[in-house]
Amino acid sequence: MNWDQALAQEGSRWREAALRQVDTERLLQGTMRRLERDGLTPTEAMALMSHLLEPLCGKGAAESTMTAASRRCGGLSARNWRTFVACLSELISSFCGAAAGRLVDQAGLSLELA
Amino acid sequence: MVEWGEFIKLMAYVAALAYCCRIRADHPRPARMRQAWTWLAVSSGLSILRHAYELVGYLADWELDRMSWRQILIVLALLALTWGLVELAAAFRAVGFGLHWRRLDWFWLAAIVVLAVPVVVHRHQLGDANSTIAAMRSLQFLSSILLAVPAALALGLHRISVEMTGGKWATALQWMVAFLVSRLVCLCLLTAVPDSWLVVTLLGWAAPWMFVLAAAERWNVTRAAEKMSDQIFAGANKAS
Repeated sequence: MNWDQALAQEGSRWREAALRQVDTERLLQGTMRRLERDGLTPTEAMALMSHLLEPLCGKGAAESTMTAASRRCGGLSARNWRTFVACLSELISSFCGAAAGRLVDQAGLSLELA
Repeated sequence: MVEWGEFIKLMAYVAALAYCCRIRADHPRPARMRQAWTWLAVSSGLSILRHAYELVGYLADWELDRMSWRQILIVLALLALTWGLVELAAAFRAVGFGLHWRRLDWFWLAAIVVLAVPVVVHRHQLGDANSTIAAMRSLQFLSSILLAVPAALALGLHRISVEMTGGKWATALQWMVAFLVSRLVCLCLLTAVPDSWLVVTLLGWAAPWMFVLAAAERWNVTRAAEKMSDQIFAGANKAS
């Protein structure tokens, strides 16, 4: 099971357990603190970027463009994240327009990787 | 009623032109997608001229020969549309979409060829085929064939939309496919099924609006991206 599926399953478990608002907020705050402290792994960052792009160009396009960008910048790691974001922005803007390319740039560069 | 039809189509292409120009501006200069939307804008502009010409013609009750000069605008608009679609598909192919056709796609391509046959065979039933100007009759023959080419290109766009798996862009492509195929179906019904005038009229009025919906949905990609960028920028400012 990949990270994305695990997260979706966890989310549905929360909903089923009918957590109180306070509990949900506490859990979210804990997650955000963990992310601030440790940063994201490249896979988590890619999943976030994929979720960002899905409403615009679809899940299939988001995934295949990220695979192409990763191949173009010689593999994905925390060290070459900026190069990856630049490649992804270029590819996305080629078919979704400059505004979508800028969005990828802004969102990608705002992420802190571990 | 014919005049109203022309007016509805004219308005649709005015809206389409406005969207095409906006989308074109969203693509940087050397991009193929910019070329694609430029040609789609040119096609919309020529369609505006064509429907304005026809509207004036119907209102002034022009004779057939004078009316048949519209074939020049029809052929030019179809050429611009075809070239725009080729550029659009090429821009997607450059990033790896639409490269793998399925067996079903070849079936649909065959269906489009089958749809185009009655249009060519029964083209003498179309208005301008009876024009005394030989060049206009030739252009009318050419436009019947040219209408099938964008419909065939629509299959490539359909494959791309399937590969994209959802999203606003895929919806835009599906509307474009509906626009391109419905025009061919319309002409096929007009030539092959004599009693289908009501369906043909309604589909003929609706078709250009499908193109408007396609362009509007593509423009929504830009608007949504700008909105999300603003939210991220606002969030980053708040955090700092």
